[in-house]
Amino acid sequence: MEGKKQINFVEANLEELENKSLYVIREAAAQFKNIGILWSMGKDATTMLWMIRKAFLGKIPFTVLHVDTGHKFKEMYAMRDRYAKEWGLKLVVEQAEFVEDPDKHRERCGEIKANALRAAIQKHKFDAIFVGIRRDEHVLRTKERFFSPRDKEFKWDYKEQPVEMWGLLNNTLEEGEHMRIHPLLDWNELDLWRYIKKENIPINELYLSKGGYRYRSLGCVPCTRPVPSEAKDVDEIIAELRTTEFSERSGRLSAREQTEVMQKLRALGYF
Amino acid sequence: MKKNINLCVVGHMDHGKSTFIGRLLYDAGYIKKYEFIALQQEGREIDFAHFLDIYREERENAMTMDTTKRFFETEKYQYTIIDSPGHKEFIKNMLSGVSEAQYAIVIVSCDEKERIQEQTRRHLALLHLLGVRIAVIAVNKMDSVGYKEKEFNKVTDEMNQFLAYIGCDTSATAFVPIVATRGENISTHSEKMEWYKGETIIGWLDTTVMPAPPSVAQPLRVVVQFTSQEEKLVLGKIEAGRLVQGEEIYFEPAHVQGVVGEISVLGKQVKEAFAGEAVGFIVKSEKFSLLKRGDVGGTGMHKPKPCLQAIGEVIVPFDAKVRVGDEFVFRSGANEGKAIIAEIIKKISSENLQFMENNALSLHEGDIGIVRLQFREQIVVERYSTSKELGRFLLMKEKKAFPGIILQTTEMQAYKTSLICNISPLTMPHLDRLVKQKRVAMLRVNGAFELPDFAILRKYNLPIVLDIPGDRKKRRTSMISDEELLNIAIRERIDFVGLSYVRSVKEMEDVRAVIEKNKSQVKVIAKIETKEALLHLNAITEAADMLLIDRGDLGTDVGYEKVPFYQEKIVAVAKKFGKKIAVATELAMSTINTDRPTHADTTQMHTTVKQGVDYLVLAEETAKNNDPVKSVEIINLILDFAEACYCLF
Amino acid sequence: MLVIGLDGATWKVIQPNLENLPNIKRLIREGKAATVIVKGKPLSVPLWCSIFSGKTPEEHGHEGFMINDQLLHRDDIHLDFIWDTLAKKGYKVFALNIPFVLPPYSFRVQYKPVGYGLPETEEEWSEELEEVTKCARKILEQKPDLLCVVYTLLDRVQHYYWGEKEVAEWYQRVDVKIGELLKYDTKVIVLSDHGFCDFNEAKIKTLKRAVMNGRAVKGDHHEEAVIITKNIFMPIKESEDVYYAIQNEFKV
Repeated sequence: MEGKKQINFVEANLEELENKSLYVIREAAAQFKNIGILWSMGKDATTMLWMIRKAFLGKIPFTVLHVDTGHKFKEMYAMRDRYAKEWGLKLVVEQAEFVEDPDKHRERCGEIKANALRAAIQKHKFDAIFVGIRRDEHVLRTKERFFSPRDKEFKWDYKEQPVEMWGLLNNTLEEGEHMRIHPLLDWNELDLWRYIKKENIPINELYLSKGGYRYRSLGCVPCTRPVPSEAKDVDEIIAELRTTEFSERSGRLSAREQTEVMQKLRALGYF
Repeated sequence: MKKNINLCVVGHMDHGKSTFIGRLLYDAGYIKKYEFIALQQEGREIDFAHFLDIYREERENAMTMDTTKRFFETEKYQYTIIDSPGHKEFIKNMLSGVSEAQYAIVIVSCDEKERIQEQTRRHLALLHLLGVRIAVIAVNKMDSVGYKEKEFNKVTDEMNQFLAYIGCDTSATAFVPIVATRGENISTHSEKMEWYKGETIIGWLDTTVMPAPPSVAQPLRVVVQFTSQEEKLVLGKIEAGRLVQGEEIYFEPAHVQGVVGEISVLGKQVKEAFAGEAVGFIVKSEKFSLLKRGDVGGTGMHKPKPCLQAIGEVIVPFDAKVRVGDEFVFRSGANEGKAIIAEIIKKISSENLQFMENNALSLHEGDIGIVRLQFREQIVVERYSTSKELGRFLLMKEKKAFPGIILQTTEMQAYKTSLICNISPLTMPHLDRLVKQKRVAMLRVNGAFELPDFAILRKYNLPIVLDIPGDRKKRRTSMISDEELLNIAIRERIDFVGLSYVRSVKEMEDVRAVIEKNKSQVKVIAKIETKEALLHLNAITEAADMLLIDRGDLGTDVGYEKVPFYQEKIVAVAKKFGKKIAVATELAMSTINTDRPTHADTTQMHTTVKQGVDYLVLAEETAKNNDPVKSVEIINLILDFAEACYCLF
Repeated sequence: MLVIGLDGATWKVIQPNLENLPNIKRLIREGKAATVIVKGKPLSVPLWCSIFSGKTPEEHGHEGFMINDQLLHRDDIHLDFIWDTLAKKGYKVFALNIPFVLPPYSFRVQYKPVGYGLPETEEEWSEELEEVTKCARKILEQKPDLLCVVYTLLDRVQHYYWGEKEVAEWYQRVDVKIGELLKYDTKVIVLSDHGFCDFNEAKIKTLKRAVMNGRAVKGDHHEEAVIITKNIFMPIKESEDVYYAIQNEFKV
């Protein structure tokens, strides 16, 4: 028996999602003293920045932090400087360790970025950081909370974390911890693009198809690979997300597809 | 745009919840390629549970440790399933899932070895408590009893009985016999159960559920998350009702009235905003600076009411103890204050919502307690039955959260015991801060000393008492006569005069005559500090507006060893005549220049509260103290507890 | 240039059945046949990585499909494969269905692997043969500088059926299909990552359990791998030599 039809994403009510996110953003502002916004100029982080601006009626009363590995696409640097000026951002750029050889950089990219973030947190004494992650991005993310503490080593005990009930978000921090604020947690990729279209949020042209390829995510140049796609504008991206299967679009399997495969491997005796 | 319904799936660990959810998702098209998991042999079931237990520990423990959200759609609605674990240990996680659900699907196994067990009952009881409606009850594993209708009926009967027992309305409950592993009756009708004529699970869902009606028709309740003083801007969430530009709005407990200015929702200016929306709006009010996070705004017709005490129902979801007298951080809406468990009125079992004990001393894991909560500061909460958003809370202690709902609030808006503070030149620099402390109800000036500028005192908007010394020997820095003092009181429009050494009703009548002649509103406090006053207590009490026991002078006159006894009697008489009573002298001397008062002082404050004294008079504590605010803070700490223990509102 | 990988192909089956494998037979005649002896563990993931990256398993460190309970993805592997290297130099290169990750990886090709790269049933094996060949032919029509393509079905077939007639039957079907591809090019490498043998004789057992979906495993991996080249200059002794042999044919 086959499933009736294939649904890639459940399309949520954007206004409900947005109201919830604004609520989370304001809760964070009220409960932490020195908050930073981690901005990678990618679509998620820029959308989050856009919403923070809405939450404070056109202003962004926090420091915006860019962790620069030196390997970003030049179009992203241009975007950063342009919008920092247009939106009047309090921007600080934390220079991460620059490893010139792209292969060597790729090997250590995660570590390099984490070190730089740690240094920035210490330097600016942030007690909380806005991060634009979503639950549907990665299997591990399903356990995240809106407010999620991290210790000095950026470790996080997902088993012991308190529940977030009734809009009452975790606000207790231990010594040396900082809080990660995740306003986009309930958004999925399609919701995000629909919102980007609705609001006309500026996104980088690299997300659009050129020569049969486009970038689904924009990390550092050596670490990012484009995927085959013909979507030349946001409408086409939305259509693509609705119709083509996840693994075709990205090469990476979704959380549920991963479990299917692992189940298979298990049945086959691989482990 | 389809409406969204939040569902939770509850039931005992082994009754097949995860399999059920997997099957439901698959049938709705969420999971594909059946063949990947299909085992080649005929009759082997598909293990959908593996789809959901992503983490290895969970697979190994076969338990879902946390909640995860899953989505699916039918023709009618969009559903969000919050998968809840079944094991008792994880009631805390289950609560988080249930807390967001509008409806529940209950899974109970028909397998003779399973059926209705403790976890099933606990979950049903908790659902009922939190007001989550049961959409449908799935009786699973019908294959283990040969698909017999008789067995199905046995289970439905037992379930109905239990639901009635805990107080649920069972008239509309739907029961569906299913086999989750084979997908029978989940989205397609089972051929093996022809006797069942009802809908499939999905069929029932679409028929029974209704999206939550927006609470727009209810009175306005907007919770303040954040304020900006420069712009007079409030950022918050509308929990109920409508916010309209131009309307009058009242905030409690800040007690601020204002007019709603421009409103912004999702970055756009609007004239009205509705329940569920995150808003930013200007409040035109002179008292804007008093507004803070946690305040609740409402309109004139149904102003929000602050309270100091409430009766709540609290669940103890895990290994922890809650004792009478324990203090917690109380979180509700944007409020975060402290609350004391003043009393555990009833202890209830979470297994069947039945009564266990009255006046318990503590609650343990799995218990539900009906408790009296005393808040340290006034807050706005409402009955859960009227307003879910303002009626639910978490009590927190060391990262453990105990969820609860408000059953009843009190009308009480003031503290039971208040403070009358003596003022001296030494007090003046601290006065700004002193009057902001809770319980500070009146300022007192001793006529034996140099008088302050009453104009300055009046700015604090508190009643002022002028003490008329009566005995020439007591004059210190001032030689103003009693008569002159009375005239000053009348002239400066003082609120109360305190008559010292009252011995007879006649003295008081003379004073009243002067007051009346001057057409003044000054009230008279009779100070009880003489033998004669005790003899004529009833008459004096009746003639006075208020009583004050000056223990120092009373002790001198009747003997200090007798004062406590007389205090009790005098308080009783005051209550009999419905007059307020104040007690003075050495209330809390040990709070001066120290971090900790003596046990004697702490006990005496508890005693005065127990007796029902209305005012404690602080003399040296506020007039001859370098840090009067600190003393008042210590005193308030003790009074909070004392009131929690002894005051029935 | 055309590189065809046949996961698990072994001389033990090809040699006795050569008459029924006309395309392979002709290729051997026109080119050179040899055996590569795998030094380390005969596992597909490290070997296909070595073959296409030029690094030994010790150097690249990739052992299996999973890492930390998560499926490995191409982006987790910090290597430049032969197609990356040549693409950077401006050559028209493609890769199709390379099984060093799940689902198998394709470069500059839109292809959805059958069964996520783990085809189980006869239908799926046929489907892989059909689809991979069809896709490869479309690419070859465009006259690329290099196409690397891998068929994975023989590995599964031999695990299930080693010692039975089904094995030879499937090799025949594979031979027909690769025959369609061999028409297109003059520089060819056909190779396998490892060989196969009877389960009981295998020195290292690659599966944790001797049961696959309820069926007993009859064959397991063997260290002797197949290598057939035509018009390739460099000799290939080890798995990782393949990368250099390919690279050598281009001006880099």
